[in-house]
Amino acid sequence: MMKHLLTRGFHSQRGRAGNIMLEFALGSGILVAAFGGTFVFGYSFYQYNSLANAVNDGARYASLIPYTSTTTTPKPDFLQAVQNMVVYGNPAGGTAPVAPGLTTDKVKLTPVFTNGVPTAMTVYINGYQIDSLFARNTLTLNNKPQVTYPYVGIYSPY
Amino acid sequence: MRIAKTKRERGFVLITMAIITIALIGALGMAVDVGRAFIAKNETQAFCDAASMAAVLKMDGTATGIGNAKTAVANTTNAWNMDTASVSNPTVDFATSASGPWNTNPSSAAGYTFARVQATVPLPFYFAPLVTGSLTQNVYSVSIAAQIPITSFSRGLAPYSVVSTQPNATNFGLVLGSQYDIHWPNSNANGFISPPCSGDPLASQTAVLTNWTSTKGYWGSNASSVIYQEVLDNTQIVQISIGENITSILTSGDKQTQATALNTRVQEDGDYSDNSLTSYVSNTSHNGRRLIALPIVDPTSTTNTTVLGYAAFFLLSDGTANSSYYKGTGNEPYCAVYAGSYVQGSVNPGSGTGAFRVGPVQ
Repeated sequence: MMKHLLTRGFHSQRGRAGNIMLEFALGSGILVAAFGGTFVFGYSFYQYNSLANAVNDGARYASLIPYTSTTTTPKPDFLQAVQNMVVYGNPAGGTAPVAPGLTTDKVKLTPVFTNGVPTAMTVYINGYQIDSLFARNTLTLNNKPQVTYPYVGIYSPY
Repeated sequence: MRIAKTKRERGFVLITMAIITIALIGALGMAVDVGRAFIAKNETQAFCDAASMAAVLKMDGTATGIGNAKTAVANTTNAWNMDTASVSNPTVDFATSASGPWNTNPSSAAGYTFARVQATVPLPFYFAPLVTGSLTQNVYSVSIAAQIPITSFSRGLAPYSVVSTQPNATNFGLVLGSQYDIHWPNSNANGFISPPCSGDPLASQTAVLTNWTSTKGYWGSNASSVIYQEVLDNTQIVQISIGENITSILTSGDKQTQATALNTRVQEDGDYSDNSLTSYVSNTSHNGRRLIALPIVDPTSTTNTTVLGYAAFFLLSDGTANSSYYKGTGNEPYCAVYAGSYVQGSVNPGSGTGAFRVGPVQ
């Protein structure tokens, strides 16, 4: 009788440990997925929002400064200033981009001309991959975020 | 006793995990739905900002301008929902001040220089409905833009001036559509050697003859390359402010270069033939290059020429690529038509006098 009880108790403790491990394995899998998903979505949306704000600032800046080209191809210094504004928040440039890995070559500017003069400035991101850590390089932004502002600066083509 | 306890503990971890998982899925839902809501808010705000500026740019004190402002809002392309959906049914109304009252269709557009654009978009929620029961959340944005007065120019003025001796008169006594000297003709003891432009009253002519001896209203550079930049790029060698005495910077300049630059500017316009302001504004090919911003000045003595304000003037053309500003000896007047206020970036003049830039105010 004593032996039976001891044996049953021993088996019961082993069984409980196994149950806990199994439950933890099942639960932790879901937990890790939920944690990862929360982070991936949250961080991706955060990055997209940062980019949207940066593009908005860049387009607004482009709409204000003197446009110095006679065509829809902007002069290099104009383009560089707008790209710097988007990437660094400063037309003069900087060292810390608003989003990880964002470089000026991924910032595109399309001036809109009407009857030979600039009437709007469109700025957008092209070829930028959102780095979500757990799902690396899975979301590539092409032509977005995109913002257009009416041009209200001084046309200075010479 | 031991058996009973084991039964109570069995499944405890699973239940705990289930509860935590539900909480985490809730957090995931918040990350997704709230994250998208923030993005939607910024996107609709960008739409409203751009649309309100586009609207204000079109406002010129006329009912046509109000109509064009509404069209500009409708044509604003900034999208939302991560640039996948257009903003539908934005509303726009107008006011004479930022505090309102706001009017969708003002009976008289005179004095209306503020535009307010409001947009509401229905953002679909994916997780929040489990808690709120609502499948969508309206995201609202509003922006107010205005024509903001410019009192001091470091860039934007052409290097000429128009004379008025009526500092307190409406529009300084200038008559819309009339021609004024932006560069006065030479003079001698008998008066002007060529007749001044038709709109300048006798008082202005007398003020110029009495107080300006060798200068004729030009205040730019004497160097050809700089003159081109001043006329074509609106650069300035000095800052000009209302109330300032500009006597010291008035100079004769290089008239031939000035005239060539003015003619070049006229030729850059899609409409370089109309000399009627009304016809010009209604011509869909015009692009605003023939509109220049000038200071209105009052020469009260030989040592004082005060800047009263600013206005937009319409450059004349002879309808060809030939010069219309350099004729004969070059000493004839350079005339331009008073067009209204100057609105930076607009291809049309505004109403009244003054100079304005377009920008958000709220």
